Amino acid sequence: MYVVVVGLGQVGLAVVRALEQQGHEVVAIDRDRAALDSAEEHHDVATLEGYGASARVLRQAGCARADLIVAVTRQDETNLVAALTARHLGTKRCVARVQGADWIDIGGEDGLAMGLLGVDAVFNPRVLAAGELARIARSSGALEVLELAEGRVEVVQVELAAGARVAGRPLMDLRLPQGMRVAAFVRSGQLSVPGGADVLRPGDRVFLVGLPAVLREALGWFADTRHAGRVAIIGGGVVGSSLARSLEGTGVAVTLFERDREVAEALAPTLPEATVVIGDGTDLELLEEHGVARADLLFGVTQDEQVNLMGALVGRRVGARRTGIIVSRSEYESIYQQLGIDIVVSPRQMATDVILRHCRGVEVRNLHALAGGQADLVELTAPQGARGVGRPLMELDIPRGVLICGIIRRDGVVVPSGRDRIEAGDGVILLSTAAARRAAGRLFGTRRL
Amino acid sequence: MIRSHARVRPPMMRMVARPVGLVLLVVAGMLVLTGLVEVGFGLADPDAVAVRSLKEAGPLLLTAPISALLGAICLWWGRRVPSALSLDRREASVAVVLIWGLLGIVGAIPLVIGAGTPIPDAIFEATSGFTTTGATIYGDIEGTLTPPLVMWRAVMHWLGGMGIVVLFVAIFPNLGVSGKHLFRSEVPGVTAEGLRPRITDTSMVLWRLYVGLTVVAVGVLWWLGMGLHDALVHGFGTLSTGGFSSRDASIAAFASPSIEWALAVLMLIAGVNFGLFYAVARTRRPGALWRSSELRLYAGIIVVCTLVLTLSLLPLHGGDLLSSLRHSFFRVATSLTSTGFGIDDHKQYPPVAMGITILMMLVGGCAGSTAGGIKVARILILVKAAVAQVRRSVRPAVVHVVRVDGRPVPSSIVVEVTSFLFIYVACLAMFSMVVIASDGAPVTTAVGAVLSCLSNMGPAPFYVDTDNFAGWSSGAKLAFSGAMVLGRLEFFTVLAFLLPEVWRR
Repeated sequence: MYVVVVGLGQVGLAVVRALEQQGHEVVAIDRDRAALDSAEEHHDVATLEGYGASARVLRQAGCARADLIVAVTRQDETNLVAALTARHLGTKRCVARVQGADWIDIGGEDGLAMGLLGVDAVFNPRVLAAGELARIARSSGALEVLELAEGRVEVVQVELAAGARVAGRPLMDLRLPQGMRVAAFVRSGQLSVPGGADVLRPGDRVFLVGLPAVLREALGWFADTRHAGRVAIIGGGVVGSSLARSLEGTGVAVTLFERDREVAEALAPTLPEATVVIGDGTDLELLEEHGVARADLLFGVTQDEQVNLMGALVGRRVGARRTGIIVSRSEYESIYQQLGIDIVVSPRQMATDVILRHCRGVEVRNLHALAGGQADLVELTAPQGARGVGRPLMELDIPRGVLICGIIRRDGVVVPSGRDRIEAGDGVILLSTAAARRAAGRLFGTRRL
Repeated sequence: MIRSHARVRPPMMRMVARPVGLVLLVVAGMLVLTGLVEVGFGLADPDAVAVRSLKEAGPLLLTAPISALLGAICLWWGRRVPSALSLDRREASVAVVLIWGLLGIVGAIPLVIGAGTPIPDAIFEATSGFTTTGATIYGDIEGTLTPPLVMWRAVMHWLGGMGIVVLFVAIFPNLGVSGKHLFRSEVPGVTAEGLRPRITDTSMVLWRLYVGLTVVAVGVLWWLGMGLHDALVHGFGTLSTGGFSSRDASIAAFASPSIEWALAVLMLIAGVNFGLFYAVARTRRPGALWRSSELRLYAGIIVVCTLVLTLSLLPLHGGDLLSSLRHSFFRVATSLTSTGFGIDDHKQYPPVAMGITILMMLVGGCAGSTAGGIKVARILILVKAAVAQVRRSVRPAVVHVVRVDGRPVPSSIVVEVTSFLFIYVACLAMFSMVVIASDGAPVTTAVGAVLSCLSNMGPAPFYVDTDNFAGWSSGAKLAFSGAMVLGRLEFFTVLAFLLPEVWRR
């Protein structure tokens, strides 16, 4: 594919990196010579200096024959205009990011709008991140909750509790309920796709996939599933306010800490149930005073990664049961975990996921990166005549590091065993480690997964 | 998932081992291919005996496993380097310099085995081949070299012309940014890249154009009455702007004005920026050619030099205007593109013609072509920068912008080009001093020979006796080889190899 990336910020660079690895042709546009030089030095991409929404610059970048434009500059309006201009010039697909507080409402709670203003996809990664945190808060004990197949399948990440009944026994002896399975686990930072002989240990991070109802039942086998009754949020920006708003009316008691008086005072009227506290979220006494000791979850969601980290560590010291932060660099997830942070959500990674969804084969409906990009969870439509279609799974010779997590049909979702088979047109949920990505792609005839 | 915290980057020599090894494998493949084609030529020839053709192709087929083994050793040496780890600029330039050093050695082996050439002479010849210089140490090509060796010299030209590293980048996928750094180390300077966003695609485009033009050239020469073997040898030598011929008398041996006209045009085509051909092929608008001010200057130089040469050579041709024009046009083509084919003896030229010939050697072809020399694009920038500087001296308050094709040239590029010129002159002086000291050669002869090597030209002006390099000492030949590689890689990459900080960890 020929992709034009406008804006070489963190998301822009992450997209460039991912596209380069997948072998796409990339032209990057930015106004900052230094950013371009650095991209040029470290990636096999062409660069162009200029204003990304200018038709002249976009034409020069080859938008007339581009398959995709990704507009991720710092200015939301520039992104929208760039996407629209590129569409006008003949680019096939246009994706634009917005992140300002004025663009919170696009696409409702999930922060993703298709076809807004004629742009194929407009998304707000901070709202996406807030949605993710809200799902975690509403679930019991999960560290990450991903929805697939319009919510008919969920992927839940949990940390195996010390006394969990599944710990210490081979997976094949576990007698897990029908409709779910252990898709992967992360031990000392390394993700693996388990076989039947593997044994889960306390402290492992386990990815479970299955029907939402079944997962909720079985979660107790893996983790401490006390319902999150109290949630503390540090930061009243886009993420904090969207998160607090989506927890309104769910019976969760929310305390939100915001340092800026004006922001806090503007926020409080929009959140009838939550308590908005003016003050520094990294202040130990302030957190103690407002009952963070009894919080089941504490989220650090300011724009400053270091404040989030500090707030979460202080919250943990005060007594918050679990902590989560949003960060800009998901590569450091394992470092944060070593420091004692349970949940790490990266809006940048979510933005990259949304964008990459548009770069894969047409059959790919959905895509999530797991464990900082060590594995991908892909939802795709099984094409006619592919190698993986029409035969029982046990005959398929599925490569190491690849797992078929679910088959989605109109009449129901199957968490398959070896006897099940995928038919053409079925939705398939597939987990593959980064190393097995190519092999997984070959199963379903898409060159790039 | 913690990035590069605990991991230590492997040492330089292990990092560069894989590309070096793979290029040696490519060379081995080309040796086998050339050997087999030559066996085919031998079998097709009704006069030849099958055994002899095999024996003559033997040196090539024997060298192939040596090159492959060296390549395999390199690959083994670098086996632990994770394939996802890409080369940085330092490593890429070290790799490219090592590759070019090894090319001269591996390319020399068939000459040593097949023709009993002494090792320094063979290294000189092979380096001259890969750098498309075309300077030779063989006084009697037809008597000393078998057809397979003649073909191998042409194949070395051809591989070196567009660049073996560029070929490597084109055919090996997933090199990523390593490919870009390797490409830049072999093709430094201006405008060759950026045809396509990915370097693999750019290299592929360049090599496709190169192969296509070579096929056309060989076809034309064959059609004009050269034998197929000679057409291949000269086609390879033309598109790469190399200059090795299969005949002692070079192109004069064919005594065919039409071949001379055709070769002159083909050489001039090889001296044009290949990126322009791509632009024309993609937009289908030949106007792109004329919009390039570099090409306009190139054409202007050709026209003016041809006219002046024609007039000054008129007495030599007894007043035959057409003959003088043909010889002058050929001389302009061969000198300006640094090819080095010849149809007359430039030692008999009047001083004006000689001076023009030397100036053309200095200028060279367009950037992004296979020609040598300083390059027209650099001359253009140098001239404009010099004019701006003169203007600045009288009008310091006015902002003077150096523009090429309407676009301002960043001052970093101007500095790079002026440093290039300085390095060129400095190398010319230094290498001349070395060979004057070692061989006691006359100053003009030494300067002419070094200039010929730095420009990848081949035949040198101001020669005392014969028009080849056989008479120099072994040390001087190795110095000349160094000068050729310096000129081919346009100095910076090779000089970086000598910097201590490139080797420091």
